[in-house]
Amino acid sequence: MKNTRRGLDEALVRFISSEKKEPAWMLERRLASLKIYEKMALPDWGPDLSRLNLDLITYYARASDKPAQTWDDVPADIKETFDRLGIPQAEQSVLAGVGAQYESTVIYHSLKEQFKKLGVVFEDLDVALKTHEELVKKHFMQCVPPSLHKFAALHGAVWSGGTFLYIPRGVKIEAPLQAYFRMNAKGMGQFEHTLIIVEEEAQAHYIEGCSAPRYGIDSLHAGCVEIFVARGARFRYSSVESWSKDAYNLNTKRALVQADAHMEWVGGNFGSNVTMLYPCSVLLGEGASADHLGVAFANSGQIQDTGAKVIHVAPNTSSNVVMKSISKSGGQAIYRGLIDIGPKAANAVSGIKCDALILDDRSVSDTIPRINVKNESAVLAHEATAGQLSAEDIFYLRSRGLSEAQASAMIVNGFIEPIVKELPLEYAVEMNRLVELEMENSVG
Amino acid sequence: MVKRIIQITDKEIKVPAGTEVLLWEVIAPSERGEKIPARRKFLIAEDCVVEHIVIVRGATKKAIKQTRRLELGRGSRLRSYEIFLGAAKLDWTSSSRLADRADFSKQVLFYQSATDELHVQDNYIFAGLGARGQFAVSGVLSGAARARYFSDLAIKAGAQKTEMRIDLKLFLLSPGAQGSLLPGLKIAANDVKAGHSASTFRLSAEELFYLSSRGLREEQIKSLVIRSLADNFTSHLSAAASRQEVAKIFAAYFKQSQ
Repeated sequence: MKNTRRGLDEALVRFISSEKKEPAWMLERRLASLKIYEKMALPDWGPDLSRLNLDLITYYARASDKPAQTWDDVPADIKETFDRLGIPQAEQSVLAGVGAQYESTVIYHSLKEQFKKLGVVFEDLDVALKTHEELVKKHFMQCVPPSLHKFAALHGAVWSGGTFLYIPRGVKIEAPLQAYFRMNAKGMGQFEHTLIIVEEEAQAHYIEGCSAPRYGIDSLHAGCVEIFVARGARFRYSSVESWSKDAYNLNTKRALVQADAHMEWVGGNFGSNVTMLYPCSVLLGEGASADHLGVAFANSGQIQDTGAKVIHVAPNTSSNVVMKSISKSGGQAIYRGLIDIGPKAANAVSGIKCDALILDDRSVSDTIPRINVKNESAVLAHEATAGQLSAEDIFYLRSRGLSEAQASAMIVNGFIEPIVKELPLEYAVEMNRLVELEMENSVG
Repeated sequence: MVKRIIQITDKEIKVPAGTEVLLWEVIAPSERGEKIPARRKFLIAEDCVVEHIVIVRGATKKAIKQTRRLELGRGSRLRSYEIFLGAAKLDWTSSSRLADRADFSKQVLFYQSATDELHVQDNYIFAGLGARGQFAVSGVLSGAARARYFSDLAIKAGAQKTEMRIDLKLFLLSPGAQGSLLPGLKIAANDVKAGHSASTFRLSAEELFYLSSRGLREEQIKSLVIRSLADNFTSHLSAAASRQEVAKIFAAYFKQSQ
């Protein structure tokens, strides 16, 4: 493991860029982002980030010399971690391709041969910067500009690793492509960049899993996901984020959706001390549509500030947002959303449904759904409810022989079922297990 | 309890415990430029039954701005009706706090046209046990009117058995109108029933076709939408005299704005 020092300055940004042997334009963009980062303040809304000491974060750590193509080439200590996560088995059985990142560097990437032949590109973004430089240059941080917020700017300056996925026109991949990100060192920052380009009439599903062990020192995840969905394409992005409970997960995810294209976000947020994550779809083309499905579980000491943002720019666009949150043992779950119907978005339709379960009297649930309408033909409906576990349901399940904790976990799993059923089986199982884990020691 | 009618002009209004009262409040500045208090406070003591009708009518280009605070005492019941009829610029901030078993229902209707601007921040704090709140807001925007209706409802820790709901509805009747809604909900107690909704509507092509086939022009159809909302709003008032008075105000306003 080769760690750089803590803290951030121009010298470090130049070091990262030279270490990766990047083209000059990328260094220029990094330095421009750094300037924006230095000028921007922390967000004046949302959870308190004042405890996050950005000077104590290690912004770059190299885990391995180069990405491996087979599991045998992966360094033993890293391989052991990913073996335990079951990635090799998943790759063989159900996945179209898989990538894995450890700290700042991608350590494994592979894509099934049949998709390579169709022109699909699925590789480490550092590699893609060399092999597909023009594509990367054209799209990199065009969907999420560094000026969007302080952590987007930070990401633009110190990003490292991540995934580049290119689906050529008309290619349809049924099996999901997968990437797994893991922070293992304490006080680390992880800034992986996921850049996905789905050409016209293409179709694919990409799924990310994220985790980190707990060290008692704050770590930071400020990744970025940019997705370009061209005319008539369909793309599903799923993620199950289970960072350690001393991590700040300040991730930015955005998709630009062209005419008649469809974007789906499916997400589960379980870990982190503080999460601020609001996947965004910008419906740019006529007839574009987006679905946002999400689950957030806020346990003791956690703030899960998650939500969805849909910007309707073009006519005849539609969006559907379904969010579920559970707060327990003093956890705070927040849905923060924005639906913006622009002046030219005639006949836009949007539906938002948020449900919250509050499992005890120490926990908190907030719902902050903002709706901006600038076109008179829009039809939009937001509905939200909050409540607790039904005593009758628990009584019934206990009468069938389940313990109170088992009954509670079963009800919570039923509550999030509409989201979980949209995930591939392995991830659905993982999400259900994460719920059961979070529900341990719960009383009613 | 004997019901009293109070015309509100003061900055602070106190309703003594056990009182049944109708509060009648009209804020309608004229060209003469009467001074509108920047702040107004309502203190409703325990076990009161209150109906509160508020009519804010902007007949001039003068901006209207007011910050209001309401304390609703233990076991008191408040039925509130707020009407905002076009003001060049109307900035309205309201904060209400409900004690144990307080029961508050509020209906709001706003209609803004031309280049009217409405900014409302309507906050509620449920601080006691077993309080109830039911809030329904309907707004109609035409011309190039702008409206922002934000609500922040907080159920404090310990405010168990609270039941509340807020519904925000917005009708945009012209291409230049723009609106923002935010029904924020902050819950720090688990044994509660809480819900909120926000929606925007339009007349569907089928509805417009049907009404057109009955001989109505588009302007008449829009006028019907506004009048039906106004009639529905008025029908909830408990006293016939209040219903007639509010209906007269609506009629005069619509006649003037046509």
